[in-house]
Amino acid sequence: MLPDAENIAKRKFVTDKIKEMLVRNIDSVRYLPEDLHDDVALVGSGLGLDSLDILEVAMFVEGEFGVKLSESNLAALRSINTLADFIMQESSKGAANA
Amino acid sequence: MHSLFLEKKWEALNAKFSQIGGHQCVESVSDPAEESRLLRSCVCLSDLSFAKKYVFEESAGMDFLDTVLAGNILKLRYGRIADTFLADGGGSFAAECFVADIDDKLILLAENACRGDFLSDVFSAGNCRDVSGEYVLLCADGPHARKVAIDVFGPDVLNLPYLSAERYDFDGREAYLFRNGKTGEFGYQFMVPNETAESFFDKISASVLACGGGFCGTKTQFLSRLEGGFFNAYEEGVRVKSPITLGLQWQIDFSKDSFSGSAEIFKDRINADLPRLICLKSPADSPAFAIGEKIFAGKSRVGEVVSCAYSHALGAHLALALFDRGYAHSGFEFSRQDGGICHSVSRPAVLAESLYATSDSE
Repeated sequence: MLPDAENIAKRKFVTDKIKEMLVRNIDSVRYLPEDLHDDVALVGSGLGLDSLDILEVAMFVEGEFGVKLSESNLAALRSINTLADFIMQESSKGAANA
Repeated sequence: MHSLFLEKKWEALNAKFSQIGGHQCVESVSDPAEESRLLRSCVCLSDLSFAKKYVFEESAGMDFLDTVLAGNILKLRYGRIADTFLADGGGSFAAECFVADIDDKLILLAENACRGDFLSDVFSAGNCRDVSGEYVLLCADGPHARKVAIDVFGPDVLNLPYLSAERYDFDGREAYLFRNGKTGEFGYQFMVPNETAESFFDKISASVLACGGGFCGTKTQFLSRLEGGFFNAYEEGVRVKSPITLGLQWQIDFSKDSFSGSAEIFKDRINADLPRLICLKSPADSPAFAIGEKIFAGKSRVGEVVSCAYSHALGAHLALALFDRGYAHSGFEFSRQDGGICHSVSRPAVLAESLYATSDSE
């Protein structure tokens, strides 16, 4: 994908939504959305989210983007960027099937 | 140059040596592709003894370190490790610091991007003991690293969560285990006094080999950090000075009034124009990335490479590049200085097998 304004805006929309949700809903994330680098790890080092936090993230993704995370795609939860990749990929599949 | 205490042991393995910040290090032990394969699929032992090591008295050390380090050391619980950093007075990144509260003291492991004497100057104000020359620091990384740690210290290693530390005895001396590997969640570091270091090396080497693993140098260690999305003070930390640009906000407690360099860091925090680090990938048949290489969007120069390596796991060239904020997003195609193309990719570029280990690999 070429880095034109429209494509970049689409990507930024998704990563910004994820950041806003993390700051608003996860108690342990005591940052401003702009403090969160797109590649920051969600579990382990980085934001250090626990299993309940991850459940919250999964519910948000389903509610906000209509995309379901299952056991087979848990790798999407490694970072904000990997989660955004997953959301954009699944959304485009959904749009193609509609 | 400070020599590795275990130099003879590594020499016997035909290791190639180089140096990091005036300290000898093992650069490689065997073929880089084989080292990478073993680290990604089994376990590799490496020597990180060039990292600086300090010991602080527990309560006074906590107060002191909380005033200089970016993270909240006062909240550090016994047996846990804080992953944070030290900046100089101007807010430039100086060292990544792992502070472990263990054995009634604080042990600080520092991966420094600055002169070692700067660290010693800062930390000596906290009445610490510089034990860098008294201990070796070995590291076992890979999905089977846990097996090795269990073999050496026993099954209670299983109870150690990520970023925790424990003291054990080995040959009548203390030996510290830190679960803070930087290539995947199941990396372990072993800090052992020189007096027992050789026998410890023999024991852990035998365990690594019994698992089917091997040995690696810093080249493979650092490649794995790049692949795994782990910060590397010895690469990007040397070339990029703003902790905000480096994406280290998660290592900062912004509720603290001050710490070393905080005034400049707080200014950077609200500077929306600061560049960002992003990961780039280019096909194996394209030229390797080079430090300083310029990256373009159309005719506009938008980035510059600050760290790079060939990923054997991906079969592609990987780089970290400083990008203009507006273009610092994953999933896009950019042009390289030589006219070829590269793509911005999400980190981690390689997912550690350990997180999804099957019963076969357990």
